[in-house]
Amino acid sequence: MTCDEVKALLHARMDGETNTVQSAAVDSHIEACPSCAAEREVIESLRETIRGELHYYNAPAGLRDRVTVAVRGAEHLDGRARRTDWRPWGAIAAALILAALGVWPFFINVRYQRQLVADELLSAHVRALMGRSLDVISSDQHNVKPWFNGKLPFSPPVADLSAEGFPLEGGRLDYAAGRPLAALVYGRRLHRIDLFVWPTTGKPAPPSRFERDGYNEISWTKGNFAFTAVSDLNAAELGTFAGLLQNSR
Amino acid sequence: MATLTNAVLAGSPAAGAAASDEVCMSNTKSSAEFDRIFLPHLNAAYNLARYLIRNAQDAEDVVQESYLRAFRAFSSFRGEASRPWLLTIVRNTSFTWLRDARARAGQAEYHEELHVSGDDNPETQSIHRERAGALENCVAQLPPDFREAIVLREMEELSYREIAEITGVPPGTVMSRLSRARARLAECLRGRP
Repeated sequence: MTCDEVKALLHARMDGETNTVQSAAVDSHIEACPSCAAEREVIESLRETIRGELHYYNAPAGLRDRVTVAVRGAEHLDGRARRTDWRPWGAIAAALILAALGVWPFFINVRYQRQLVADELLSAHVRALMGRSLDVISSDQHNVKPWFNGKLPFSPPVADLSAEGFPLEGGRLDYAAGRPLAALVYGRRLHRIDLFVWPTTGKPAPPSRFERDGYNEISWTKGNFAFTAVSDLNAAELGTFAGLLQNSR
Repeated sequence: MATLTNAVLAGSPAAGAAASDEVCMSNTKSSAEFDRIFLPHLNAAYNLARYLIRNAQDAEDVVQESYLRAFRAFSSFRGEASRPWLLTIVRNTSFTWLRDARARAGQAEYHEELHVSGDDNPETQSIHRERAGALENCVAQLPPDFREAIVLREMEELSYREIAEITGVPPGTVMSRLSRARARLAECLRGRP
């Protein structure tokens, strides 16, 4: 080891920061080198002076209390800040908004689907008025109901409402919303009512009304069937018709 | 805040340094817990601030500010060696104070002697008073970087690695600062025997 190398490591050696190999190399060099030995003496003496005489300033008497009070104050303030912390509520609100956003398309979809079906049924009704209106012409429910046998995978309930002023006129097959339907045809003075019936496995939905181009529609579910009545009859009388069917049998 | 963040980051040495009895930390970081861990280091905090600031009253303010910062950063304290952790914050708070003082001095004339109050403690009134005064004057004339290296090494007896973490420099820099600081001190003392 050269003197420069030793002097570079001398402080680390005396601070106990060299490894055993470095320490041995430095120590053996110093034994044979008066210059480096003198250097070490200077450092050693200075360190002793510093350790023996450099004044260690202990904290003044009041400082401990000052610090303690300040920290207690900070804790109190932080605690108050924590009590009015709105972040959890913000998180809850964000979660609710996200949940609503997630469910919203479903609602839209349901509404949209129902609107679609309503539109299709209205089209079917209008189409029937223009041309092919009835496949089976009978005012007798016991003729109309069996007529659907073999033509549909279900047997629609057929009610006789002639006593209430809604005489049965007949029935026909129709197709809407991707499924075959039974269309029961009732009369009311000069108006015609198409009652579309199809099986449903969904939950009973509350009755809903649509109104478009002067036509009224009322949809409801009863038992395992979904019903939609479509007519140019006024909404009140169509409501009466729907009510009679909902309460029949 | 940047200073504090640096302080906390720099003050979180490897888990291997956690050779203290404060490893078991509860989740409730109360002020009582804080006092138990950090009030024992009040003298070390004050001594470091006192040597860096060189003024008793300002050093007290810096120590109080440092403890407040430490308490606010307490949740990030993971039970490592508490004295270096605290001294990191004291050191950074002191240097912030010094920088602000220099900024103030840029506006008004700053007489350093006015801010270096010699003995504010009766203990300095000893036989070694003159010599100790000379030594302290020499230390006071060191640049702050050198001064803190001397205080942390000779008075707090911290390792190069701990000093490096506190001051945010590599251990090699600590070594060179210490050797240059000692060389200057030796020269200074020779000049005023």
